[in-house]
Amino acid sequence: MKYYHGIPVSPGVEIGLVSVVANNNFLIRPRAIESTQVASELAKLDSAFESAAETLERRRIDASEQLGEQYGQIFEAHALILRDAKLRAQIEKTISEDRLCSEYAVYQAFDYYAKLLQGLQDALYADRANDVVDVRDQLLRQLLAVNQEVALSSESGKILAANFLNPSDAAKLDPTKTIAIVTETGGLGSHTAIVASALGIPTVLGVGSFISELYEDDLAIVDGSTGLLIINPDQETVQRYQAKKETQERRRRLREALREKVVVKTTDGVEIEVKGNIEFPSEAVKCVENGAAGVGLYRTEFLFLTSPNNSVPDEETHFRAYKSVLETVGFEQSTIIRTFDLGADKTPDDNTFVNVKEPNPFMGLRSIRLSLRHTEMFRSQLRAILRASVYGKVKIMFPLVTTISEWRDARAIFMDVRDDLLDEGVPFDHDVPLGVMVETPATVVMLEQFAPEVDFFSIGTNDLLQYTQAVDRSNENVMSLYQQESPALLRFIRHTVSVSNHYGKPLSLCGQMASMPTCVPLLLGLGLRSLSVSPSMILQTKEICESFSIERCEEIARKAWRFETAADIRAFLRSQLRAVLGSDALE
Amino acid sequence: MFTKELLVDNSSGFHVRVATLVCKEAMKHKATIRLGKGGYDVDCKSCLDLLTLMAPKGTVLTLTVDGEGGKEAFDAIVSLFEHKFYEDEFADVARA
Repeated sequence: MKYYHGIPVSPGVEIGLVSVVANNNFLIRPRAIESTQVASELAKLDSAFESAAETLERRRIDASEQLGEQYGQIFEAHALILRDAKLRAQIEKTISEDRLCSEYAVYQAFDYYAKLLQGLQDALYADRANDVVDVRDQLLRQLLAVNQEVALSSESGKILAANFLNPSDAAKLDPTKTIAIVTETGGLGSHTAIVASALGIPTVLGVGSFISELYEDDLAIVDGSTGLLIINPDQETVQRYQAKKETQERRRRLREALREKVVVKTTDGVEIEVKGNIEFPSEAVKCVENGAAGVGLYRTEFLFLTSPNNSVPDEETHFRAYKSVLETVGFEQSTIIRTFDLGADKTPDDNTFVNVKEPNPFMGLRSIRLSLRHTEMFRSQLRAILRASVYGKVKIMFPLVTTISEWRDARAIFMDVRDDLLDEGVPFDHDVPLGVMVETPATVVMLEQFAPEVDFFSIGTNDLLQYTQAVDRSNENVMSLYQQESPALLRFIRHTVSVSNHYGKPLSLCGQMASMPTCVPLLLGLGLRSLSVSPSMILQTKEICESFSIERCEEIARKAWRFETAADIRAFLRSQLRAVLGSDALE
Repeated sequence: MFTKELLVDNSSGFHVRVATLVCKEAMKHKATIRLGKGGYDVDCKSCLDLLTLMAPKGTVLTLTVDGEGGKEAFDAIVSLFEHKFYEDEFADVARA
């Protein structure tokens, strides 16, 4: 039995026989050619580039379709490398002037870049050498008619052990056949890692030298969660990992089952709403796929930040985006649209709104303040939301409301826009609820003033924390003060829950805190029954809700309340999540 | 000739996808487009050269554009930087 440690890049445990692929190098020698052979070598090169381009394009399409657009983009970079004019000129020069064979010319030109990239200090950049080598190998395969693909598509049900694995080779692996991947080189930031993780194949990269000690069909254990590779394990170890594998599979199945389940309940039967935060209409689809109880926060700033030349988006642009989201989410679940939260860090660089550079933008003209100053823009947004309200259940939420007058001014504009639409005979939902975000200490302490007038509240922990601790979260000198587990924030959340409950107003929490697994039991314990999280966290959040009882969550909240620092609270919350979901809950 | 100092302001820096985006844009223009810092600058039409540019978030790169259609090329590249290479489209962390 022998242990190796590598870099865990794609979680999961697998036990199986290995298929060894020793692929560390092509044998390329600088073979001299005659002047009469130059033309034919160049022609060979031409067709190699062409076939490689076709192969890469096919991979790009396959990866885009199977894994998603952003994975396809990896191969777009490869295609651009192939089209690099400088590189091509260098290769052709080696062939025609130095009179060396095409495979060596290719090898040499790429090697220059590969070495340059490997030499860079940053691991993230050194990993790019793999992409360069990948493209080079595509060409060399054509030139040498080497077909390594055969070697990689080994017998099914085996662990692939190789010196290295290119991203494009990884993308071709069939997850039902290759059960795990382990390589000598490669790292976390590499595209191979990204692709392996998207395919869901347990993978450990960068183990260091081990291939030479391995025989085909040796038994091995790969733990993609911890980065462990065990070769020829004893019976007891196999049993231990078999148990771990089964636990993980049970959890995965449980999580998949949660996809269908919109209404989740704690173990003592209390219903919890898990909603999604979105920024782009396409993300609404993700929410629905994961069985979210609606969209708890639709950030509309992107309409501004992505519009051509940062121009103010017109009513139609708003309308199209909202219609698309509402049609996706429908009427059974609601979509909470937050009006423009522009300003501070989310602002166009020009002087559209603020003609002087604000010395203190987070305290400046932002969010609802900006909308109340630029009412034309605000009105067209509200009009568009109302017009779209016939396509799905919509609620409107105003960001960063700090005084009751701001709320009343915003509501007045809304009512005015509503009257206009009534006059014009435009159909819309006449009962669109209006809510405010609880994002400043002023709002929290004055909440009883707001409660009788608003329809619902939503806590935005990111801004609330920033204003509570007086800390700029983008300033690295003070970032350590920005902790979601802040004891002060806890008290503000608890107060908001009490007031909302007293007035019977729905309350949700849509800040980053809700997307942190360790904080979910705490939030439930503090009395929240609705959380809005990033789409990728929906299933996990539902899993946590279904694993805890409210009684236990309340106990956790009571204990957390007594700790003095955010760090103590965090450590405690981690231990609680582990205690209920198992030691690998945070992996 | 047009030149400007540009801040790499997206969280993951000048990585492969960003290099791809810049290269694709550069290839649409006739002008010579170069990016660099500290005396090392590269041709934006060479994806490989761009990949050798080490520029994590916070790096200031100098853009130099020269030749036919320079203004359009310059504006196009500047716009990519200003939009942080449209990176947020793939962001997944809540920013409520």
